[in-house]
Amino acid sequence: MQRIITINIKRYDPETEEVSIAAYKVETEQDATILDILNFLNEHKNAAISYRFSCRMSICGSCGAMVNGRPTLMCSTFIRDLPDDVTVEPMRNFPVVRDLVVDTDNAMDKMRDALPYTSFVSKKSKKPLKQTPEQLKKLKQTSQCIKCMLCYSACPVYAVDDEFIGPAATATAYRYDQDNHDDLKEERMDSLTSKDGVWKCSFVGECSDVCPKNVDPALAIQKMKIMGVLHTTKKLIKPSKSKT
Amino acid sequence: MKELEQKLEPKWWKRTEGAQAYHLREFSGILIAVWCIYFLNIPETIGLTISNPWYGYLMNGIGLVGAILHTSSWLKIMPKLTPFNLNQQQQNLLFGGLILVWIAVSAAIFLILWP
Amino acid sequence: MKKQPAMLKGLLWGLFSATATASAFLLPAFIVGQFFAAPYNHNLSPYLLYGSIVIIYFCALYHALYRIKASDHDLHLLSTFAKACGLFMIVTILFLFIP
Repeated sequence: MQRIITINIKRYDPETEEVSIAAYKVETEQDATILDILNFLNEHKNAAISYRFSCRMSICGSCGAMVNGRPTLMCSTFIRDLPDDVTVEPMRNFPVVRDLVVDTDNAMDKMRDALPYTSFVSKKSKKPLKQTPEQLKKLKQTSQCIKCMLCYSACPVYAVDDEFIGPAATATAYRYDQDNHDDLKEERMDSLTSKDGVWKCSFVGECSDVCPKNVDPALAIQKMKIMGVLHTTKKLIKPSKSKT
Repeated sequence: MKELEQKLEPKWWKRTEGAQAYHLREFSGILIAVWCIYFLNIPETIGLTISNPWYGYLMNGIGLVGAILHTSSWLKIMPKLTPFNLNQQQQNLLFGGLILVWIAVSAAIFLILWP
Repeated sequence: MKKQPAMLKGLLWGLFSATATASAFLLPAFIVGQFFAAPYNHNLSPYLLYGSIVIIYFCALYHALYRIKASDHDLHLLSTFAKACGLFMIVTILFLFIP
């Protein structure tokens, strides 16, 4: 069934530093997505809107934007779920490069702090490391993260303090912490319990609300806080020598 | 070419229900802090003696609202934070259990402090 | 660069978590008891009686102030707290004139 909607796109031109709202009236199908409409506008209306996308199926996490004030993936936001007047803006809390393209480098760098890898160096056994279904279940939810950065866009703490490690990095850290292959718990907890770590989270919960993969980063942060307290107490009682 | 910086809008907590619930939860801290000031008898300490009992009722009422807000939000969150990966039904059961514990502790306080 | 844990922040949050849990269980009943302004149980040892009152009070105050401080940078609750204290003083002074 066809429908006519008005799509208002917030545009930014870095050469002139001009911010404007471009409105387009589009006749579209109910099962079209916002991404389909942007592609249509660029291909048939010469709109020349800048935006990122890749897989078109909520796997790559490239097409994040604010749709009617809510951070979402444009490829999985359907017209049938939206009113006739739609506003599309770049993701909040990130500097805008052009139109809907934002610079997420700061948030991506936080991933390093999560030490998102396991290390087999210290394991002397030559046997393959097995993982039972029960062990896999512990990390499955947080391993679904696609680094779309919608959680950083929704986080009010990150909005006022971009040094905060943030939801996705902490969820990633939790994923590796729960992995039975992992042996970097100490270093990871040192990183997460630093001054820009998990303590800055106020547990607003917006990150979990907007996550397209139901990773629930808010819960992961709270669990890491509890583990952080135990880690801190253990360090106070028994300070460990630092590994070179 | 300059990137456009984006700042948090002042009334951000009004934009979603979750943010409003968070605001209410944190606001309970202010109510309890005001009750704490009253409970310390600070007005009397600085020479303001108030004989009207409604003042006490009002201040205790403010504290009670804050305490109930805090208790309900805290007990709701606690089942989610156990290290046991509970499903929704188990979390609901645990929440029910925590409410029973709360009732039992409250009864114990009444019996011990005001028999 | 390897990050160092912020020990104090961890302990302060841990204490907040403990005091908030204690307040959740103890505070509502304690405040309801205050409503009736009944005298405390004199059969209890004074150390036990006043010790428990101090503990309940400390848990309430610490977790409330931690909440206000932690929420300040996103909700500016310090200014709201200051306004609440101002209102508290105004109400207190008003009640001086109400018999």
